[in-house]
Amino acid sequence: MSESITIPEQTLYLPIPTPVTAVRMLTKTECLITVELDPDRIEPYRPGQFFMLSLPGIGEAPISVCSPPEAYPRLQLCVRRVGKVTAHLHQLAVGSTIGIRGPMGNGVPLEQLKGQDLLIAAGGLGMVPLHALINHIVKNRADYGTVTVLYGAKEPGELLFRDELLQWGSRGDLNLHIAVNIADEDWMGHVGMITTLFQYVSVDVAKTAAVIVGPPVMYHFVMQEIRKLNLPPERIFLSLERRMKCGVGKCGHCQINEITVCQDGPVFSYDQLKTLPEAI
Amino acid sequence: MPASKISKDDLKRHLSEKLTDYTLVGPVKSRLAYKFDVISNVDRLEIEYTTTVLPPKKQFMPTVEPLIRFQGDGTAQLPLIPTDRPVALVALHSCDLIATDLIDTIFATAPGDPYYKTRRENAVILGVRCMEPCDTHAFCNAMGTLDQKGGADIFLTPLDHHFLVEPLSKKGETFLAGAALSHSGDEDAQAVGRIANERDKQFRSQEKVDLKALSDAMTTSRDHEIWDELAGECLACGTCNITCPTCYCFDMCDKMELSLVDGERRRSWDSCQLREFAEVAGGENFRGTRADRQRHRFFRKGKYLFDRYDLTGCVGCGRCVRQCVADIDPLEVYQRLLERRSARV
Repeated sequence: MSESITIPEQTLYLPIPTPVTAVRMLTKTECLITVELDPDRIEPYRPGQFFMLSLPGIGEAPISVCSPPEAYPRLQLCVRRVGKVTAHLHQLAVGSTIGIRGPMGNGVPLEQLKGQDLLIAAGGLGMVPLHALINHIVKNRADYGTVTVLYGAKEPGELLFRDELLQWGSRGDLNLHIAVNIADEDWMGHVGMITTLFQYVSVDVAKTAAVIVGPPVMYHFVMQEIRKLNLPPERIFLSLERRMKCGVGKCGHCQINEITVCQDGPVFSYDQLKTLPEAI
Repeated sequence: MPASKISKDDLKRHLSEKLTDYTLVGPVKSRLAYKFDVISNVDRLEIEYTTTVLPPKKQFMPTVEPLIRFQGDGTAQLPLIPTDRPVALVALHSCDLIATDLIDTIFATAPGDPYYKTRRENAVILGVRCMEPCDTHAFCNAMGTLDQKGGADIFLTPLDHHFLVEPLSKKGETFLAGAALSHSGDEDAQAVGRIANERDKQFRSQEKVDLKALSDAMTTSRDHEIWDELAGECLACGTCNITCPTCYCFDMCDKMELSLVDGERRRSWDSCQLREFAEVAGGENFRGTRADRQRHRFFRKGKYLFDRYDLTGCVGCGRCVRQCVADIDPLEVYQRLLERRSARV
């Protein structure tokens, strides 16, 4: 990996034109965009960080890193079609160019996770940043203890990275539990909220860290289960979603109390969030 | 106290001469109120004025400004901010000087905002001491900003026929070079003291807001009934944000020309009082009620910025309450929050 690059202040809001090398639909509403970053202008990224993606005339949107740091300078971004910018991102063709700013935010504290048992809980699109983390773990498996992944989705059709889920499940060194709220005819797995997967979880409190990413409503319920495990709050990490315009701590949209999610987050320890009203 | 003074006529003459090198921006009388405007004839300049509707932040961060220009070939460029002529921003009241300090801090904090910093560094600021309250809405005395000089390069104190002149930076000294300054004696200092004494009695509240106590009071006031009361009155129009000298939140959106090949990414002032301010793409809104948003506004002024930067987020200029259709008054809010705190202790 290259050394950290000093981004000149003058280019704070300037998107770097970046070629799209692959586009693949993952579900009906999510597509996976692969781009090739310019290593002279964009520094390596970590799981939990995000990039501002933009198209001239359409606008800009914050999108989570989906590929592990090892993929750099390749970058994968999973985009759900929910608004104007994302609808246009879905129409990208291989060979086209998008604007990229980043990486932004703090990311998952990989150094702190090293040597720990890991409990990873992904709700819905929360699997996107965790896909980056899980792939990083898989590539550096010896650095971590027991790894348990809980993944909850609304329905089987919304499960992301299905081929990789199969691979992870058959590795033997990764405990993967998947739940869907509503099953279809073909679904043979667990049915229920992600919280019902905690019955399969047992942790060694002394050496376990948890990383949880999902929609705000999921945090309320998952945190109740996590609390029952008695993990210390400073070893529980959550990623917060917020409206963001600038990504550099200026525009005020992602402010919670005295912090800005884009600069101080988006990953926080539960210890930090406990004293941050409005956070979840 | 300053040791120099200049006659009011000589100051105007000096400012007029400076027009060859500087773009002069200062308060002028508009139809209904004062506003900061570019001045080509110093006779329009009103150095002794009651406050403007919009704060001077627009000088460094225009209401709408292009951040990026797109070309037809798909490349993007930064627009250049012309700096060939420095700007002299004249007659900022103390409230606005302190507010400028605050926004300087935020936009200079790494990563620095190139647009703001370029404009800011290109400007020389002349502050002016307020010799009477702007009106019955101002409460700068309560917020501790009255008579503060902040980041002014020159600070003026108006007396009957002349201004006392304090250069506060190299930039200020350069701007004053050639001005018809004369020595100011003790009698001037005494006159300022006398006027300030009389002035202070005219403010609507004589009590100072303890900023630390206010921040602490807010910590325990998330569930205070006042937020629902304010929500019942607030029209969520965002005027308070637009008129506030310390509000700097912005939106970014793209504007294409008719050709649809060239265009701009622009930023424009935004308001945390608008419903969609904290709403994300999936529809989740982290401050979905007016009560949430009013609390956010006041906590930002009295707590968040203070806790992070040790600077008051409210300078007591009174602009928001002057323009608020629902008469929402920050000083009353602060006093209510502090009251409950003292009742508890």
